[in-house]
Amino acid sequence: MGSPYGALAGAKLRSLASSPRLLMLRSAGDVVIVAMEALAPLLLVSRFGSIAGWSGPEVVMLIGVARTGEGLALIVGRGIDPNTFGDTVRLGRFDQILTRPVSPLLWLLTSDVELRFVFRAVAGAGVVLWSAHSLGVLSPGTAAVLAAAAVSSAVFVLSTLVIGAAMTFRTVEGSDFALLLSNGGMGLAAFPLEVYSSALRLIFTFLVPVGLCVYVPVLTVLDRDGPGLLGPGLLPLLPIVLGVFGGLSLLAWRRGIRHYESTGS
Amino acid sequence: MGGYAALYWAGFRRQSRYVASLTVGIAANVFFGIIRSALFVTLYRQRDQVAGLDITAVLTYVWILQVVFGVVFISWIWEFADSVRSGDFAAELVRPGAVLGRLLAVDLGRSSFALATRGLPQLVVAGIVLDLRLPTTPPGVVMLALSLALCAVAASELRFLFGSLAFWTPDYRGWWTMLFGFLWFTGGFLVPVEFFPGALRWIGEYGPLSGLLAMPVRVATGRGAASALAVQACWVLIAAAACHAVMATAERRMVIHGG
Repeated sequence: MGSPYGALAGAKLRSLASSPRLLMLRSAGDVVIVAMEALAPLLLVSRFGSIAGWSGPEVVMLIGVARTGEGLALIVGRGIDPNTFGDTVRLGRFDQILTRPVSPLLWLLTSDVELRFVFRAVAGAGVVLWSAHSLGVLSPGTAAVLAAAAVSSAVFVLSTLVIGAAMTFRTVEGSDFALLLSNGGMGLAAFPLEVYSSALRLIFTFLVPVGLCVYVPVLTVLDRDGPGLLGPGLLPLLPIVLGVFGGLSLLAWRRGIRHYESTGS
Repeated sequence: MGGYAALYWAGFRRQSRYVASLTVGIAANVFFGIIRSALFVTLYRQRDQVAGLDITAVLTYVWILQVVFGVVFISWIWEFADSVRSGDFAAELVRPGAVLGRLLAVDLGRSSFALATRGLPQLVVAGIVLDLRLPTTPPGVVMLALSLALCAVAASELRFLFGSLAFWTPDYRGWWTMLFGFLWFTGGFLVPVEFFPGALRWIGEYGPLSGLLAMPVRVATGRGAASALAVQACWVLIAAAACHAVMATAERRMVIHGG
C-alpha cells in the first residue's frame, strides 16, 4: 500500500480514537448481532432436530464464515457502500477525488476505515472457532480452509460493493440493488444450500459466487457432500470463479468512471 | 386534530416520492421472504407441528414479517435524532400543537405509505401463491388491518424513544447499534417467538416488542385475535405514556446553541 493510502487510513483511525465510547458501543452491538444470528439456528435445531440434516454447530459455522468475511470487507468498504458513495457522488465530492494523483478506488477504500467491523470479523471468527471446536474438526488444515473461506467472502462482498458503486455513476439509487446482492447473498449463505431450489443454488454458487465462498469450504471442512454438483470437489474452482467475479466488478467500475459526467455544483 | 391529519398525509405523500428506494425495499423483502419460506418448508418436512405452529402458520409468520419489516426498520430512522443533535429541532418547539403529536403524525404517515405499498401487496401475492392462513371474514380482515396499524404506531413510538437518546448523549447511534441485535431477536425477526425457550418465550409473546410482529401474526392466523389486539393496544398506550414523559423531560433539558 502506497504512503498516501496509509496516511489516509491512519488519519481516519485517529479520528475514530477520539470518540472511544461510540466505537465501543457500536463494536459491542456488532458482536451482539453476530451472537443473536448464531443463536437462531441453534433454537431451530433444538425444535426440529436438524436443518436439512445439518446440526446446530454445523449451520453456525456457515454463519460465522459469512460474518467474518463481511466484517473484513466492511472495514475498508464503507467508502463505497451505496449510502456513503451515493452521497459522495450526489454532492459532487467525487470530482475532488478524481483531481488527486491517486487511484480513486484505493482512496475511497482507505479514507473511510471503520474499526467497528473488526469486531464483527472477530465475533464471526469466534463463532467459527466455537463450532469447529464443538464438532472436533479443528486442525491446521481446516483452519486454513476456513481462513481462505472468510477472505474469499470478504472479496465477494467488496466486489458487490464495487459493482454497486459503479452503478451509482448511472443512477444514485440503483446501487442499492448491489447491497441487496451482498446482504441477500450473505443471508442466503447463512443456511445450508440444501434448503433452496436447484436454480437458486446454481445462481448463488456460480453466478453470484457466495455459495462457493462460504458453503463449499464448510462442506470441505465437515467432509460432507452437498446436493447435486455441490461438494468439496468444487473448492479448486473458488479462486477462478471469484477472480472472474472480482475482475468483472473492476471492469464495471472502470466503465462507470469513464461514463461519469460530474454532479453537484 | 385537522392539523395532525394534514401532517399525516404530508408524511404519506413525502414517502411516495422515493420510488427507487421503494422498489429496492420490495426486492429485498421478496428475496428474504423466499429464503425464509424455503428454510421453513425444509424444516417442516421433518415435523408436522412445532410449538403449536404448523407450516401454514409459520409461512404466514414469514410473510407478515416481510410486511412489518419495512414499517419497523425504516430508512429515515436517524432524521429525528440528528435534528436534535444539530439543533434544527429547535424549530419544532415553536410550531403550534404538541411536538410529540406532530412528530408521530408525520412518522406514521411515512410508515403507512410503506405499509400500503411495500408491505400489503407482498402479503396478497404470497397469499395467492402459497398456502397461508389469512382471515377471510370481514371482521377478521378488519382485525388484521387494526393490528397492522397498531404495529405501525408502536414502531413510531419505539423510534421516538430511541431517537430521544440524542437529547442525552451524542453516542445515540452507538446505543442503537448496541440495542438493535436484542430488538431484532426478541421481536421475533430471526425465529418465531413461539420457538423461544421458557421465560424468553413468554417475553417474546407478551412483552413490549410483541406488538411489532408476534401479535399481528396471531391476529392473522386467528389464534386469540381479540386478546392479541388488546395486548397490542395496551403496549401502545404504555409506550405513548413513556414517549410523553420523555418529551416533557427533554423539552426542559434541551439547550440550543448558536444564534
